[in-house]
Amino acid sequence: MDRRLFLVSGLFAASLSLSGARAAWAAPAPAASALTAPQMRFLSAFCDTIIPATDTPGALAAGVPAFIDRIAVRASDEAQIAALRTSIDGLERVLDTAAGRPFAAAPAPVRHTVLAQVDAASMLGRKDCRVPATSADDADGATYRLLKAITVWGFYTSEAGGSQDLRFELVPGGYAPDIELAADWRNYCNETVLGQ
Amino acid sequence: MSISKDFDAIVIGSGITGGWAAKELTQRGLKVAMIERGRVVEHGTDYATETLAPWEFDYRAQRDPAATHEGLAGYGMSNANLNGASSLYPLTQAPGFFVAPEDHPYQTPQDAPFNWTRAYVMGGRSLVWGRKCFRMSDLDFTANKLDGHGTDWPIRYADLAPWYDHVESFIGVSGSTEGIAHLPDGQFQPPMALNHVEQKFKEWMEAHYPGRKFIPSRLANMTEAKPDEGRSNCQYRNLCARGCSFGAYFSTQSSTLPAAQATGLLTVLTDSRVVSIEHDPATRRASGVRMRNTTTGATTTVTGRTIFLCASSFNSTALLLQSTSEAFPTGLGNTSDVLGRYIMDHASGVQVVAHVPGYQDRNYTGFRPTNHFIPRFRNVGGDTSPAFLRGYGIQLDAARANWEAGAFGAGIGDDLKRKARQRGDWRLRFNLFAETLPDAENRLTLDPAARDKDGIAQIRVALRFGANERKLLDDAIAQSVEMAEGFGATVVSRPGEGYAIKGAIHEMGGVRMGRDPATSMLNGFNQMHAVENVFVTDGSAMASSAWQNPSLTYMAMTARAAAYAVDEIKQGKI
Repeated sequence: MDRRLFLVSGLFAASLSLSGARAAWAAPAPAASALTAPQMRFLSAFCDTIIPATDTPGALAAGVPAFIDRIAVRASDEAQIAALRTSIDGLERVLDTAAGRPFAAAPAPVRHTVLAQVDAASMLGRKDCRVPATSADDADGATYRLLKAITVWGFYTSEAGGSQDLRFELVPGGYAPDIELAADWRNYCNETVLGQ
Repeated sequence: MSISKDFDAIVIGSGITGGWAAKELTQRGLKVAMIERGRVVEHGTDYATETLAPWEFDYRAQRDPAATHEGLAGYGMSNANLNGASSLYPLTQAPGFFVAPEDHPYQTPQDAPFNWTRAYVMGGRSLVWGRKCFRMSDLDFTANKLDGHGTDWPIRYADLAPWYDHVESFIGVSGSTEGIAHLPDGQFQPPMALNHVEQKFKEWMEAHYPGRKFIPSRLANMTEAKPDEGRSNCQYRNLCARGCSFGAYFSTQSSTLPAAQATGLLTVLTDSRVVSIEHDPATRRASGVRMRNTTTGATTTVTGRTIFLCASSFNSTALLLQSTSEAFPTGLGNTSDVLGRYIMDHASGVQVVAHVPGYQDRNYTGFRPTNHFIPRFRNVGGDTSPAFLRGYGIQLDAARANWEAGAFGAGIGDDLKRKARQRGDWRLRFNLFAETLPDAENRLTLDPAARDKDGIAQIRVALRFGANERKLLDDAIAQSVEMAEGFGATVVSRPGEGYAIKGAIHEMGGVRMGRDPATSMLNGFNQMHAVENVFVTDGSAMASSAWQNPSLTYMAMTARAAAYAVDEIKQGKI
């Protein structure tokens, strides 16, 4: 395990305990993890490659792998968890082959190159990775889009993604209907678009 | 068991019309009990999700994934759910305002699904409504008489006009004065502005389509504060359906309830479901109501001199169907077999979305809680469209895509983060609302077998949209596409072949007004023909759906009926 992923797994543990504390005030705590430990390592590397730390925090600092696991547990029965594990194993094999080594252990630039190729192929002709898969879709491409979608959602609805990368404003206080777009504009995480 | 309290008036329901009935009746000196089946929701303190950020919700303001159990792929991921306005994705962090359908089941025919959106809490749907406030006009009040569908309205615009004034002034409505005969102007605060592309579209459309207008919405979100009532102007948060501590939009809690409470004449009974209206054959009047405590199951009776039924269209209709007696074996006041018939909703649930190229340097800030409006332009003002009767309205806005457009598209890493921060392209979004013709076969009945958890017969809703509604929507779609393309936009989404028509959470009818007791339940003052001390003033009284959002009309009818009822009481007539 390289140094970065070692650090990452520490963050991952921290975010797990955070989600445990939060769960106490409404939802039942997850009964178990949906994914195996090796799959969680793979998922951490995947999330870190989709949304790396830059001048703002990335998916790992935002606790995205733990978020995904928590939602998967909550959403799934045993058969669905088994299917998810199989899908992730399938995608991992594709990425391992492309990286020429375990994807999770590859340096960040290699992971980026490999995943960018998969992204380009999987998103070809598509504008939104959230569109539900159909039986006609390539299975690994569909798995990729689903994991990408929930990684993106988990990041931009997290405090780090929503308030440090994007902006959060609870009370705008007014409406400016027609202004110049500022060069340093950043979208608001909580802008709800009507009528979608 | 009977509680000794005897009230001048009993108001059943605490939503948009119940709150208005309570306010008007108490301010005219009556001692009033307002009965609500749901729990107390205190203004401000009980708006549990009002200030929460996405990350403060267990599931990031999406439906609990366990509710669908569809695996990870079934988890919703959309900011569209963030404002709490979607009943399909109730914000489950705390007790919500919307009813979970499994808790309050109802029946529909296999071929006619109907999504009945309800809020069984103090304030009812006044907490979560769309806040659009459009007057009806004589184009609407004469429509049934002129084309023969439904029964003639017993009122005309002149009857309601002063009450529209009264309601708008009190609740606070933002809007613009336009001089459109079939969408009469009212008592407006300044409108919410059009953004740059909306303004450009307005100029283009009004030049190319004489007789069509694109106007600011008329909205019960205030642009000017009412400091005397502790109500602020809108803060452009667009989180209205979570409740608003600023009191910036009209709800029972922000507006009518404090006014009624200030009289000292209001008693509010919550967690109390009225299960029947009691009829006294000796006086031939209603004597009171029987209600069930929804926690303990205990039943009590409250007596009152007059009854205002404001329980929402379908529940008011059902309550009358349940209120049987020797005098009225098929439901209170049902001497004509009209009770439960002629239910309606707006034909809707369809949208046209078009991508607008350019305008990349134009922006806006603040989260405006509304789109705007193209009022009806068919079969009015010189237009003759013989393919269909009546018309439709289009609620339209232009908006730039938020972070979701960039973030969920192609790209990873730095590239993805950069795209997510940037304003997306402009889009026009046309939401279509068509009038539904009254039809006797569109009917609400009580299911003979299925019961709810209180042991009350479940409601059976049979509402089918007909050929005229589909023709209206077909035309609305075609016109939206034509206007979008004429403006230079590219349609990216439109209803497909055989699209499903859905309601608009504007269910109405079932206890319709009319001129003849043989064909209607209520007279022109929302007074029951057969039982003179019962007034039904919510949407169930509607004789036609018209084409515009109906709540303002319900409020005006309620205020007018209350003034009439108090006069009748003072004269000893009821």
